[in-house]
Order: sequence, then structure tokens, then C-alpha cells
Amino acid sequence: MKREINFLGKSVRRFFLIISLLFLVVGMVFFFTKGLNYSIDFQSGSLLYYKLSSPLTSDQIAKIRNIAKSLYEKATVQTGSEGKEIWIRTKFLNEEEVKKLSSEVEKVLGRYDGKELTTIEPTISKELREKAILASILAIIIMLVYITVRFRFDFAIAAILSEVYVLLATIALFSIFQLEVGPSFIAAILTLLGYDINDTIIVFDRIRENMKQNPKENFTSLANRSINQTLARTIYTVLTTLLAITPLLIWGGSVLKPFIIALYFGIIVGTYDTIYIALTLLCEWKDLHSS
Amino acid sequence: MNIKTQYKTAFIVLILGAAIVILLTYPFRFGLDIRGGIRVTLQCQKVQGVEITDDAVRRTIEVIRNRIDQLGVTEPSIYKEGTDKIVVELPGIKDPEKALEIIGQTALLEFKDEKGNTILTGSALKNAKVEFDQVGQPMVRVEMNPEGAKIFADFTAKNVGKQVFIVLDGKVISNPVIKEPITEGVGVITGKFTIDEAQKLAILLRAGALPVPVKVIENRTIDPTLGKDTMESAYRNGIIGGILVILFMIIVFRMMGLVADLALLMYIILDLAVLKLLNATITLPGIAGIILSIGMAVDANCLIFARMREEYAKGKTPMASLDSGFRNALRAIIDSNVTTILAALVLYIYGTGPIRGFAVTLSLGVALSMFTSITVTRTLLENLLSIPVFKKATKLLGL
Repeated sequence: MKREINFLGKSVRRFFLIISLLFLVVGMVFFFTKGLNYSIDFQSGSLLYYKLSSPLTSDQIAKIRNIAKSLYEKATVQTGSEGKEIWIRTKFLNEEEVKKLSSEVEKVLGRYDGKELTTIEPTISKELREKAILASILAIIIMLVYITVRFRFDFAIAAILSEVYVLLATIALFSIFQLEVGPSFIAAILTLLGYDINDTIIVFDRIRENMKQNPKENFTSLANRSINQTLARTIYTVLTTLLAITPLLIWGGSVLKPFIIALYFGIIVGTYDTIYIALTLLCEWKDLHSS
Repeated sequence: MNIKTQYKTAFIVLILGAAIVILLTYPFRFGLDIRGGIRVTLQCQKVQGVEITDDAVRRTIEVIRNRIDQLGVTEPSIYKEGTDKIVVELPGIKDPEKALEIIGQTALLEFKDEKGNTILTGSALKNAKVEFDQVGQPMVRVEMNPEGAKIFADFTAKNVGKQVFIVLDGKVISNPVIKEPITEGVGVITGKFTIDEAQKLAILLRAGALPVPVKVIENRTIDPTLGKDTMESAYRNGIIGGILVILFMIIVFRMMGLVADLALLMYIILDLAVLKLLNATITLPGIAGIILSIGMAVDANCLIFARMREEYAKGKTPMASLDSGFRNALRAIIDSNVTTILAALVLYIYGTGPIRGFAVTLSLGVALSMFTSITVTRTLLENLLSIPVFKKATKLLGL
């Protein structure tokens, strides 16, 4: 018999539970003070983007900033890729204002490789957000029902809590580092929820199997054995999944970067929280009941 | 090799063949973020006397479609969103500003008398085209339908010497004096037009006025060059990622890993083929999602192989380990995948555009990877174990 790693010892699991919660607390502090760095899709406004073949001079950037500010006091101008990319963000501009802004900016830029314009009114972004939240809540209820039917109600609650954790933790990460939250962020969150539930259920399945064989065994030791038995798979899957997206993270360019960071972080958290959220909470719950 | 295995093998080869044919014949449909183009969302505006009904929105879409057809855009996509919104997507368009002007303008043409009474509207027109007067100034020649022609003939007969006002969206564009009755139902609209403006007006008049005025509430214009660069880099990096996964599986699971890799390649082929078949729109995050799913598709294999090793360590034969490894892992795989598919279903039913697309690709990936990592892998392994050498060479096999 191989030696088991004691993941769920009382002090170990409580230590990690506290760490996990601390991270959330820090994240929420950031969330409520700094908020999220929403992309234009979730706010209203206009965004003009140019890609250039040679870097902008600081003189050009200053000129562009003046043009933008003359149209809208709080306009922001950002550059990236060593001055080869520029983003100009303003309030919602109508077609004529956009035309005026872009023609004046283009005069300063001279030649450019590519251009992108986005303008969005507040109603659109509000609807997108509300629909996404509603759909997620319904999805959670459905999962709750299915897991209750296939496993047990307390398992279902634990699984959902670990889902909520990966969701909040990813939001926390994005708030702390002020990474951009755009439509691809929603896609990332949804992927992570799928990954997280997958990982949780595979361990739950092993617990279910072990429970059938040893119905009398103490839950904590049973859960711990199940984690150990599925550990090989867990490690292999995390590694293959991360391997697949690592090249994108390194060489993928600025457009997809926030998306890939969210996936990378969430895959690790989604695996971790099976043990230190879902199972830890179940263990605490069982301990509370047996005493 | 038993008969069941033979049938399964034949079935898999058949599916793979079909997928390859689809992959080679159907094109991909790329999203605007890759192809470039414009996407605008229009919201129908309430005005006095006009209700925004489903029918009004449908007729508005119809008019917009007519206008866009005259612009000659390939594969435009125009659809209703929510109750009062219309989304127009024009991939690969060269002059987005002009297109936007044509799409969004109400283009309500009215002929009015001196007191401001409307005699005729644009709906009485049969055709409109650009012509030039003696000095080369462009003008728009309009032909009326029979009823329109009759009303106009009556009106002009009674009002010789007076002015007629031609009004577009509330703005007077010309106000000629009626010199003689116009009976043949043909009129010209002159104004200080450039050729472009005259052509635009002719398009608008031919396609008709919008039943309800619309306002642009979202406008995205993307240059075609931008997305292409990102896509090419994503494609390259995806291939590198895939190779890393393939190598990893061989290193960890040896022959079994190689079998899983073959199943993985089949997964990629099937996934891309079905995406083409469904005419799904491939966006940049979508490509990243496909790459991620390559890593996740071997999850079931990792679970099964790890279980097979466990069973083999208990002293079972390779074939028996295969059997109980698959049987025990299957439950977990089905439970986890069904949960994911159920959640995706909810997202599909209640989500909006991008979320729905995501739900489709997610469930597709889950369902296909279940097929390849369970059925395909198992069939390949059964074939492999029917070769006597491998029954003994368990180290090489990866057990």
C-alpha cells in the first residue's frame, strides 16, 4: 500500500481554508474600492484603437491626448507594445463626433496598420450583464439538482460552493491586478466553472465508491483516501490542460492575454478548491454533526 | 480480435472518413474579430403614432436587408435581438462609414404641398435611379406606381404654378415649381447632390423607408488585418500546445498514451468538422477555447489509464484491467460531463449571442471528447491487446 498524503488533517485543511478566505477578503476589498477594469463592452462609451508599424513619439501621444480631451474632458489615451498600439477611450460619441475624432487623430498618426472602433450605449452593456448573471444562476440550480440526485444534497452544496469560490477568486484576481474584464472574461469564467465541477465530481465519485465499500468509515479519512486515489489523474489533467495553453500565454499577444490568464489561474484554483473548499467544508460539516 | 471490436473499428473509421471529407470541403466561418468588418446594433425608436410591434421590427429588418443587398456585401447577417433591437453584421466591408449611413437612415420621402400636407410618400415609388441633367449635375429620377402616378397627376393638374416640396426625413431636399401637370408618374429630384449622395438616395428610395426610425446604439468597426495576425499567432501556439500534450501523454502512459493521442487527433478533426457543419462562428476566444479543450479532452483518458494501472497493480490481467478500468471510470466521466452539458444547456436557452455560441462549442467539445476518449480509445486498445506481443509487454503498454 502506498503512503497517503494527509490533505484533510484538521489543522492542514483549516489553514488552507483560512488562506482561501483571506484571499477572497483581500479580493473583495479591491473589488469594492478599485472595482473591475471593465472593457468597453460592459460600459458605455467609444473606443478607438490603432496598430502602427513604428512606435509613436511622445509628442504624437501628447497631441492625440489633447484632441481627445478637447472632445471629452475625461478621455483616456493608452499605448501598448512599446508605442505601436494606441487606445483612445471616451464617452459615447455619435457618428459625427467619431468621424471628427478619428480624422484628427489619423492626421497626427500618419500611416497605420489597422484600426478598430467600438461605440456602445449603456443599455446594451446592462442587458449583457443581467442576462449573463441570470443564466449563471439558473445553471447553478440545475447542477444542484443533478448532483443531489446522483450523489447527495450536502455534496451538491459543497460542489456549488467550490464553483462560487472559483468565480469569486477569478474576479478577485482581476480586481487586484486590474486586468480587463471583457466578453471573453465571461467565456473564461464559464469554462472554469465547467472545469471545476468536473474535477469536484471525479473526487466525489471516488468517495461514493469508497462509501459503498466501507459504509462505516469516518468521512475525513475516506475523503482523504479518495483524493489520494484520484491524485494521479488530477495532476496529469492539470498538466495537460495547462500545457495546451502555455504557448498562448507566452506568445499569444495582448488581445487574448486576460482570457488566458483567467483560464490558467482558474484551472489551478478549480483543482485546489475541490480539496480545500468542497471537501474541507464537507469534513467540517460532518465533524460538527458527529460531535 | 472479436467481432464486436471489428464493428466498432469499422464505425470509427467511417466517422473519421466523413469528418475528414467535411473538413476538406466546408469553409470556416470566422467572426468579425478575425475577418474584420462592422457590427452595429440598432434600436427601434418610439415616435408618435408608431407602435414598435414584432411586425414593424420584422419589416424594418426587411428594408435594411434590401439596402444591404444593394451594397453588395457578402454574407451579411441581420437579426433581431431582444424586442426592439436589430443587429447587423457586415464582414469584410471596405467603406464602413458609408454602409452605416445607408443602414441607419429612416429615408422617409414625402411630397408635400405649400400648406405642408403630404400628397405622397416613398411607398408610392416603383423605382429610383441616378441620372444627369444637361450640365452634368446628378439627380434622382423616380418612377411611381400606378396609384401614386394618378394621385400625383391630379395634384399637379390642380396646382400648376405652385411649389411642391420634396422632403426626406423632415428635411426639404428640393422644392421645384410645377410648370405643367405630370401625368406619366415620373419625377426628378434635383438638389445640390454629389454623385455619391445621389446614388445613396437612389438606394434608400429603392429599398424603401424604415417603418420605424432606428438609432445606432452599438458600433464596432474592425480592420481585417488586425484579427488575422492574432489568429495566425493563436493557430501557431495552438499547434505547439497540442504537440506538448501529445508528448506528455506518451511520456506518462507510453503505448496507451499514444493511443490516447490518436483519439485526441480524432477529437480535433471531429470538433473542427462539426463546427464547420454547424456553420458556427469562430472568434478569437473561441479558438483559445478549442485549444484549451485539447488539453481537457485527454482528461477522461488520464482518469481511465490511472484506474487501469490501479487495477493492474491489484494483479488483474491487462484485458481485465482494461475492462474494470473503463467500467469504474465511466461513472465519474458521465456524471461530470452530464453536469457540464446541463449547465451549458441552460446557458444556451437563457444566454445572449456570445454566451449561446459558447454553450454550443462547450457541449460539443464535451460530447465529442467523451466519444473519442472512451469509445475510440477503448476500441484501439482492444485491437492492440489482440496482438499477442502486447499482452506480455505491459511496461511498453504503459500499465
